[in-house]
Amino acid sequence: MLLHFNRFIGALGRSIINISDVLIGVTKFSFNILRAGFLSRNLFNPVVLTLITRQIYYTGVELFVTMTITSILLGLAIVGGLSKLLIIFGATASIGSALTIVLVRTAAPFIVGLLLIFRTSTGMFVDVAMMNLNKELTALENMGIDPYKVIFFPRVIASVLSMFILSSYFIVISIIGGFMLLSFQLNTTLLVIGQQVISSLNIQDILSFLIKVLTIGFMITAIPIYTALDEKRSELDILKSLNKAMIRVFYYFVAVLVIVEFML
Amino acid sequence: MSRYVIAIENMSAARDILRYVTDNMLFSDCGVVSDTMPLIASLTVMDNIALPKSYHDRISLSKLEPLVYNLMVSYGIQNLIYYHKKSLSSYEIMLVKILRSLLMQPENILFYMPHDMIHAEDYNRFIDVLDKIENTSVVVVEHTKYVKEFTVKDFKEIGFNQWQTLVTKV
Repeated sequence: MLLHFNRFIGALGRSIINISDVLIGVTKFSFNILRAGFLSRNLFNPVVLTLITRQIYYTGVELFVTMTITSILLGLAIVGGLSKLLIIFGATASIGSALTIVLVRTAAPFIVGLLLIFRTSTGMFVDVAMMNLNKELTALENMGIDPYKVIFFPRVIASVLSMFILSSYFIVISIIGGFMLLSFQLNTTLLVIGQQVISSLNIQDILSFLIKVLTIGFMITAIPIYTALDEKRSELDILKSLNKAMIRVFYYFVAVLVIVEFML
Repeated sequence: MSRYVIAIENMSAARDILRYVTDNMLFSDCGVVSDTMPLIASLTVMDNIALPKSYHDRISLSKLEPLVYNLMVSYGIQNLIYYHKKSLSSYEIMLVKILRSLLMQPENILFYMPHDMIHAEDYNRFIDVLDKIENTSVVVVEHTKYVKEFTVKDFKEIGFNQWQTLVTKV
């Protein structure tokens, strides 16, 4: 009995140490990315700007069609369903604040975050892990090029910007999608619904949206890159590490959603 | 400009040379063409060639495109400008690495074990391409058994320490 207990304590201790190592490592890595990006003249280096633009295209623009379809369908389901419920209970005046809580605070960061995790995080991980395995990052360093500036920073910034833009886009399109359904049941206009949502927004909603969107956007790229840099052995190990990276990203994603929701 | 070949018997000595050059010399002073300096797979040939120059001299990639194109024309590979590494042969990859180094206008360009980088049938073509390199000293680090192929082409065989002294003087 005591032996099992000791083993349990040992395993628990190791897990805590591992989690702490990862948290400290990711935090240091994130600071290094930000320092390389912002605390130098690097941001105005034309090649860095070009690479950021290309990454935005890959991370954000290529997702636009998927995002539009997803937003309309989910708008029909979430906005339409929620509004229908409020109509049944005779609380049509609360449509604006209900949509704000559901869309701005929860649905937009959650759905766009998931979409970017599926597409961008996995892509970033494989991309950087292969670069590391093929010694492309070392080659850059040997040419006097800082990989933090030309590889990591553009990817992370593009992810943050894409997350923000796609989340805002999701909210707008969802409301339009939901209104398409709602207009048959409720004598109202899109403008009125929009005004209700905007007037019910308070500073906490905006802060909650911004903190979720910006930190999730940052970490869904930084964590896979950080994990990928550990991988130097073989292509098979890259696949194993991909699981590790995605689990880390997912835990972080859930933690941010929950913690920010409780704090604000 | 000078052309040197450094004969190497064992690989550890060769690795020491490469380590010395990459650790102590700037890419703009000594361009390195080596298997240990691969092209970036996610970038096009044009971007790979222009990246070091663009980064160090803060010139946009698009502004460098005509310069890169003209350089590629002189080596007959202008049709590859928007290709990625996966579509290139080992010889073409070697040429792109040469152009990446040359665009920085280095004093020296070091070829590290070129025989390991390209197929045997392309080797003579590679040695001929070296004739096109102007205004830059060419240094080839190669296994002893291939050194003769360079010495018949007016490459001077010297020891690494000797070349190191020459470069330091420059």
